[in-house]
Amino acid sequence: MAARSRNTQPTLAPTGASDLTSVVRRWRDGLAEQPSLTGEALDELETHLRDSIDTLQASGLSPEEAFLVAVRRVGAPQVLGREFAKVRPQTVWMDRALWMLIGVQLWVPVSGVLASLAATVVAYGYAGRTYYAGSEIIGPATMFALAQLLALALSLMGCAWLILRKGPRIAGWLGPRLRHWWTFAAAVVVLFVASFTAMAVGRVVRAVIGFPGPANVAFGFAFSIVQVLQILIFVVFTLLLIRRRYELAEE
Amino acid sequence: MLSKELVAASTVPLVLSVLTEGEAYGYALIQRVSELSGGRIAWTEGMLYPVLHWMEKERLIESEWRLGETGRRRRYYRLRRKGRAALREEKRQWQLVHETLNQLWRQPVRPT
Repeated sequence: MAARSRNTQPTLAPTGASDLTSVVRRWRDGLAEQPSLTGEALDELETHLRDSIDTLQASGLSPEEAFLVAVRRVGAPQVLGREFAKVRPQTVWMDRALWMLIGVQLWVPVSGVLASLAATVVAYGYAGRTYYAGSEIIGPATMFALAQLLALALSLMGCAWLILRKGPRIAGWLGPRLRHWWTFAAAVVVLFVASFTAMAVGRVVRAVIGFPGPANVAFGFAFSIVQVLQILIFVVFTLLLIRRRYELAEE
Repeated sequence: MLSKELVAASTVPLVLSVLTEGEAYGYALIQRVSELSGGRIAWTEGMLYPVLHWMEKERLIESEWRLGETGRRRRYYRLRRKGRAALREEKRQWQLVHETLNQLWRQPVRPT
């Protein structure tokens, strides 16, 4: 995954001029992975590349050669990204804040759904049995805690996948559509409903099925442990990111 | 070829000077500089745009998206009043360096 996301140099299909458009588009997608390169800057760079290709072709180069020379003259995405970031440093920080928020957004529904599932399975499995405060409770409580941790891992993985693979495309698709107030309002409603439903389903399931007294105590205990672990994992994750960021700056 | 430091220092005065000839888009700016220097001043072309955007933010120049003669949408840059003032100051400084070096270089080389 890392190797693919880092390889932003486009590769050429051997069929020639008809492929130039798609090759230019791939080149542009590679550039778009730089957080500081936004729509207008990308448009400007693409126009530049096309002008450059035209000039080079007019001087006798094949489309492939013209493309490669033009790309080389424009410069490496990382270098350009760094220079553009100097002009508008806030775009880079807004990008990071955005991904943090997306992480939280993913976390709420994913953990909600998994917690509901775990509670349902556990509650049905143990329904009708007599509970004693003690070893009988440890099984379901552990399952519940594990399900919650699995949800955390899944949402973190989902976030990483989004950032590394789909980030630029989603942002490019969503950004222009959020300019009207009504599309913005619609997006707010959709996100709110998704998060709220996921949370409410879990509550309803637990309320309808109901846990016997001692089980409730055990679940409450498991929930507290999960919350402590969550905080710990988020802290470690954040510090790891900061360290990695620092290492990148040093290179 | 120019050193990295000189390229960085000369980009702004070069852009300001080319724009005194009239408005231009990024690619045309680069071509003009390349033409005047006989291809010896060559930038990493994409690096020009962050400089242009910075100059626009500093109100030295302004820009506008328009359809060019080939039907391609381009961003045209032109000088603002503050840019003309900045160019006068750049000229004064570069000429000072130029004249000083020239006087030193005109003196006979002393044996070391």
